[in-house]
Amino acid sequence: MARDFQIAGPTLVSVRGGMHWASGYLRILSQLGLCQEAIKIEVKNFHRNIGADSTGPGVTVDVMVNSTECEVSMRLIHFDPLVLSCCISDSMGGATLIDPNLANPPGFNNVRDSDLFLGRKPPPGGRLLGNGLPRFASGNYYVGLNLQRADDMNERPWRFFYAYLMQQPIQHKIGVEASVVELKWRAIRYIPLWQSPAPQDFSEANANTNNAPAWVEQLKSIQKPNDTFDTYRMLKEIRTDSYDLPLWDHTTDDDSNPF
Amino acid sequence: MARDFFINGPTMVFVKGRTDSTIANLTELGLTDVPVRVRPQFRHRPIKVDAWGDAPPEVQFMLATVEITASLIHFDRDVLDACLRLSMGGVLDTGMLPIAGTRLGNKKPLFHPGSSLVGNHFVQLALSGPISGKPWRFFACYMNTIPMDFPLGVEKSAVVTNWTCIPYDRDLYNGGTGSNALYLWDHGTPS
Repeated sequence: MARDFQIAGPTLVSVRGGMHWASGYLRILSQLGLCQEAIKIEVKNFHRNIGADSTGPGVTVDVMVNSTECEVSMRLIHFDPLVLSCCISDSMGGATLIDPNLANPPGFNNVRDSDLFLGRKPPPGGRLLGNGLPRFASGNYYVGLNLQRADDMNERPWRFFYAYLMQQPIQHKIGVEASVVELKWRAIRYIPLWQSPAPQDFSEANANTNNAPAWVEQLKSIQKPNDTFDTYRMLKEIRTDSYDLPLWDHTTDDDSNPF
Repeated sequence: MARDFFINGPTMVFVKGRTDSTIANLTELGLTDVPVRVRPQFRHRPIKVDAWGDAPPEVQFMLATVEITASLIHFDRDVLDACLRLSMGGVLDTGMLPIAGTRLGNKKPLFHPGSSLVGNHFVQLALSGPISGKPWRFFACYMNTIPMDFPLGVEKSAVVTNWTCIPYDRDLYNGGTGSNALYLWDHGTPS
């Protein structure tokens, strides 16, 4: 690929959530909206310096890479407030939506298109977003974040597999002008920890099977100067292909049932 | 087309608005005392590269609008008032204000009827070209910032009206093509 200006073109933000949503509303790929300005994608690598006393204090002899995550910032100007509301709920760990107009909340049958920020009951503290479940499973609250564009544009689409609205997720200014909602997404490489029944088989022979845990114990021997050995137990990470999804790729989610 | 003097001819200004307005059909607004001025306003954005200093090696076209100025001398006052009402957000009476922030398009097709918050209040502006055979049709217009300059006195009033034509569309994404193939104006015969 030759060097050239990289022009992405009109970009549509679409999202897809778990099967805990009613038909429509994030259960399928849903258009979130268009942005007022360029969407900012920040890739963050986590590096940790490794030093050795032999080289003196403060000197880095090697660097350890401890995975990567992304932050995606956008300012929505032409958006679907109901889809945004669903994303907010998922990012809160599946907050229960409350609509005072409904006889039996939660539900979406009587919600107006203009409703934004339906009342919510936040879940109790300590709730997980993934809950050890695969992508789009009911109870997995990570959102699939898609940045779509036309096929003939130079830039490919982006798909972040596990994203959520982080920290101060939105800034919503309300007035006579068209509202602009500032969103900040965090995309991580979610790795579910299996809830396999005890006792767990931590042997490597059980790795890469459906019941394999995320971690196995590994014995490691280190020779000491007096020719004896110390044996240490270390944890070695094991993943299976079905959960080993990248942080992002350059395709788009579809509406197919993943189960 | 061979090189020649370009003479548009006596230029009539036509307007057409919402189907429930008084200008639901193509209506004569009036004739002008001086030529009608059509000024497209292109938006180009230069791409700056440090290696090229302060001169841009490439430029992007970021769409356009059109400014039209017509100094009306022989015109229909009621039609002018209808254009003002639509440009002010589709209000019911001349000089009335709508809610601040009222949209003109409301995500409706052109000429869609309805009140301030419902209808499409853009005006289609057309200029005849009886000699040139090249009329102008501006699809989504409104009377802009200083919509008119209306002198009042014993002399006949020559009312300078200012219009802006924008690339209005209901679907801003259009499958990723955005504004591709959207017409800002054309030279079709208005109807």
